[in-house]
Amino acid sequence: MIIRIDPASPDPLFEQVVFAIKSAVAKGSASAGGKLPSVRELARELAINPNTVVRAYEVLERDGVIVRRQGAGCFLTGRGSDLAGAERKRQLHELLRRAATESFHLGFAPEDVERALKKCLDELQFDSKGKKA
Amino acid sequence: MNALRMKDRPWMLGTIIAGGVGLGFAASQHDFVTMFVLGPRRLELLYYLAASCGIVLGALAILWDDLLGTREFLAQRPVTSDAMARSPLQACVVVLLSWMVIVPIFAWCMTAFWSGMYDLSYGAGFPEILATMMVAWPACAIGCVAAAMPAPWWLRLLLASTLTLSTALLISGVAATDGVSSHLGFAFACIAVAAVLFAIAGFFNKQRQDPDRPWPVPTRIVGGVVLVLAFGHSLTALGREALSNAVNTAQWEYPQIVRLDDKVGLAVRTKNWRNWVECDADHAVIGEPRPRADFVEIDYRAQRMRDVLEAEEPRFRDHFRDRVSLANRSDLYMHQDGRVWVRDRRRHQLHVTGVGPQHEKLPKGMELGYVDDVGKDPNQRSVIAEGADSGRLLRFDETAGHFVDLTLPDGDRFESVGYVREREAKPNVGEVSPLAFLFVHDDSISFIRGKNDSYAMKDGELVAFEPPVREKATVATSVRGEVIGKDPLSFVVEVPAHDGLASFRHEFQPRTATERFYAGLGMTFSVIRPPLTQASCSLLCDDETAPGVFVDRLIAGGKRVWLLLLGFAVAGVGAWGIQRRLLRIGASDHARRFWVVASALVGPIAVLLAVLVETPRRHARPNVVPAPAPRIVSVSECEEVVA
Amino acid sequence: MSSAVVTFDGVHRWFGKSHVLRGLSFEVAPGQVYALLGRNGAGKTTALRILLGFLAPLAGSAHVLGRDCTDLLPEQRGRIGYVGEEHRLYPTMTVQQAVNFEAATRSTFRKDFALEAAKRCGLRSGQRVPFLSRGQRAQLSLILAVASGPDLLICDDPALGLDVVMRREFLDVMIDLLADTGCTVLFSSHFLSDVERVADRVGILHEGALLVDARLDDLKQRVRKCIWVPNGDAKPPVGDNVLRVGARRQGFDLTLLDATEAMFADLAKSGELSPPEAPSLEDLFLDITGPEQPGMLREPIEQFLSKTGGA
Repeated sequence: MIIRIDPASPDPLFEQVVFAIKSAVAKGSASAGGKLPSVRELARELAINPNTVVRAYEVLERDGVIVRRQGAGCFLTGRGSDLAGAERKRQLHELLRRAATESFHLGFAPEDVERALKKCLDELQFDSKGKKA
Repeated sequence: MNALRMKDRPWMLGTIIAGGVGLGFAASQHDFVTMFVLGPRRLELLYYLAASCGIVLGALAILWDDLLGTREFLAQRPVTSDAMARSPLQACVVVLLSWMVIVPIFAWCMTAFWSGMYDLSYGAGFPEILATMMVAWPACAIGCVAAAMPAPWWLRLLLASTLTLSTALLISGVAATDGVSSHLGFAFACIAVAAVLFAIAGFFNKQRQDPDRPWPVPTRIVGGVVLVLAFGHSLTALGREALSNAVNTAQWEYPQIVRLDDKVGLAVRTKNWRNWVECDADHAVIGEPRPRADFVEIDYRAQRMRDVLEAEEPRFRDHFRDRVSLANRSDLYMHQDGRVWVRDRRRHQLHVTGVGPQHEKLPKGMELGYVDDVGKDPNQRSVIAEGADSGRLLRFDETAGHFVDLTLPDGDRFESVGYVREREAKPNVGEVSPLAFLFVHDDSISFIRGKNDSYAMKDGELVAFEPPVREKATVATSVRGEVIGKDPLSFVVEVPAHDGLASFRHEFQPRTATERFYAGLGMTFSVIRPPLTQASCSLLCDDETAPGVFVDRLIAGGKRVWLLLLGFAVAGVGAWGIQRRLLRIGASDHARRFWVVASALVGPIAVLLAVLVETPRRHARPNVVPAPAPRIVSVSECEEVVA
Repeated sequence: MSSAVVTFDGVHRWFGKSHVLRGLSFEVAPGQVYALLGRNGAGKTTALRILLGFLAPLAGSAHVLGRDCTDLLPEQRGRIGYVGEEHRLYPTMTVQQAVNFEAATRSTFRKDFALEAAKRCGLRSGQRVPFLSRGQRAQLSLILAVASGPDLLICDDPALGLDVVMRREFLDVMIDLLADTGCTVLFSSHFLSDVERVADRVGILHEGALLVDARLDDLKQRVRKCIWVPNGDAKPPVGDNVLRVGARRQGFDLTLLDATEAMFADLAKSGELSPPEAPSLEDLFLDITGPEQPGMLREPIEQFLSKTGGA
């Protein structure tokens, strides 16, 4: 699992960590039941504040992507987010709205945006149930 | 705290070694016999060096961390501020105690080595060495107080100087009676002063140095009192010194009472000291300068102000009586109590000697001397011991190694030892060889004067000797002027009628410009001295009492009340001025009250101190407006906790 | 009473005529990493010295671990670790003696941990402090400060003068400390890239008062920079949203706070607008504390524009 962050990016650091782990799950490079590095290790590896890592793990736990076992560490559930449908829909809408806004600023027409989205989805190999193959 | 001592170890070790060795050398001023057999009277070098080392030690202990730049690193220690403040003082005490142990031992070894005599039974100088070294304790405390006071560096330096003078005067005054200091008295005075100053230094060491904040009330009380007392006392002493110098100079400028051309009058020296010129009752010059020999001085003793600034090393009881050299590279030392030793420099030996084979002590009050031999060997002299009170005369028999009694021929009694110079000698010694041979090496000859006759030494016996009689010049007029009045500036001198001359009376006062200038200078110093001391001097000092730093002869015993009141007025004006200034710069009520009272009691010096200490910067209160809220703010994440 | 570990409340401090701190107020919550930034001479070191009790505030008050800073007891001092700018240690001591000194004066100091850490950094026990390189002294300072397990770590520009590798190692030690204990950290630094990685909250001190006292995430989300070349006579925006307007050869550099989509749309309509992006901390710092800040209410925007000649 490759986790990379960019401190200069506009996204908060903890969100970048969350996103990196979620993409790894989505891409399939992390398997269910895999152990995540400890807070200490990940903080040292990325050279960021351990509080940030803790916050990221909390968000992931809240979203159901990982589960914390006392004394053993954090493990991937292999699932996507555990949230209720409406909340998930809202998050999806938010994500896509941001992408759309940025694309508009870049000067793309809606059709180009749609085509690009389809290309990305193809790359990520979603199966019919919406889960990764 | 032992842990804090870890950071002090380097300088403690350095000062123990450097100070121990340096002071040890300073204490080795004298040779072994003078130092450790007889006992020294004073150890000047040791005193001044011990005081200097003490001050440096104190300052170094307090400022060590400032020198290294580790003050803030040290302040991080979880140690109470009391422990932190006391730590350097405890380190100082350790170093001082080490010096007290190392220095006497080092001095003994050094002196014994240089004199080549190692005799452990002699240790007479140890009390003197230890007592003189005690000055390092108050000196160290002064260094600590001055280094720790929360004031600018130059004020701290000034305080160190004034405290040194002040404590030296105090300790000398307490410990010495009739010019002799007692060991325990001196040591006790030193320790008492050191204890008080160490306590003050410990208090100061807890304060932060901050030129933008006024002194908190306790600091102002302690610091203010220390400053005022130290500077006030020093000004009293130095002012007294300046005052006496000015007044004595004014007196010196006064004309002399002389006898000139059959009348008694006044005369002053001219710039060319060989000529004097007459002057009138207003001290104005009349007539032409005439050679000095034309005038005959008439003596009178006016009241002088003595120099009393005595802040010197302790002078102990004098043990050393006399010392003479013997022929065979030996020395004879005599103690005040009559014990005598012979020191053989060649063979590095020291042994006791005295009267007769039993080596009895000599009677008290005898002195050692030489009497020349008029026998065959012209270079020979005999060592004698003579006592004018006891009338006893002893000769040192070098072969026997002890004193023997000398009897004068014909039952004559010994009176004194006489000396005659070569040119004047016209001896009549009969069968003795011509005196020309006697004067090969020495141009004087010493002989014994008895009640009836005079005698010279010949082969260990006394023979008659005729010394020349010197003609004395006629003594100048024996009349003296009588002084009326105890004031050093204004007094009357009366010369009674004598030798056919009329009586003469003159009232001395500052009349010429120079005399007035010096008198005025003296009065100025009188006015700026603390009103408290001036008032007590005016009321309590009788004219007959012995002078001290507090005595001002110009106003002692109620003289010149106007001068005293002028001093009060000056102090009053100063107090009023400082009140206004402190109001203007916004000082607190406590500061104002303190300095006004100090100025009223101690005079202009307290005003100066108030100006130096209570700077406008300390009391400045610029506009303190609340800052605007930050431009970008996030909500605070701190929760309110109910206590 | 707040749970804050560090509280500054309207602290004023002047030295003679120069007013260094003008009403500084902020709080640091427990477990937070707070970065105090500012230009040289802004008052950061003075603020930290007041916090540690070396200076007294002349108005206002500062509290640390619940106690007024002018009156700290040994208990508080034992829970605070301090790393200064110059890493001043006793030049007469060796590394071993420095560790011993720290152990003797602090009861919670872990001597083996400290010696172990020192060895890992390449420090030998017998080396004398003056003969250590700057980086080694900095590491030793940090080890001594950290090994006693402090509740609050205060660092005054600790990485000044250190090379990149040393700075990263410094960061590593701090991260280990944060991960192992719930330590609160208040530090000041000029290396904004390190601050971006590690700080939770940022305070930007400028001429004695805080211009910014916000979470880093907040800053990233609320501040946007863009370049705008106006059409014709269009004037740049004014108001509370505008942090800075800088003149370019053509157009303006705009730094906006809490800008809405509508604002961007307006700007895009009246001229050419680059995509707004969040500035790095360094850019934000330059914008806020650099010269020419009409947006910071120094001078009215009209005056500024008349000076630069407008669009």
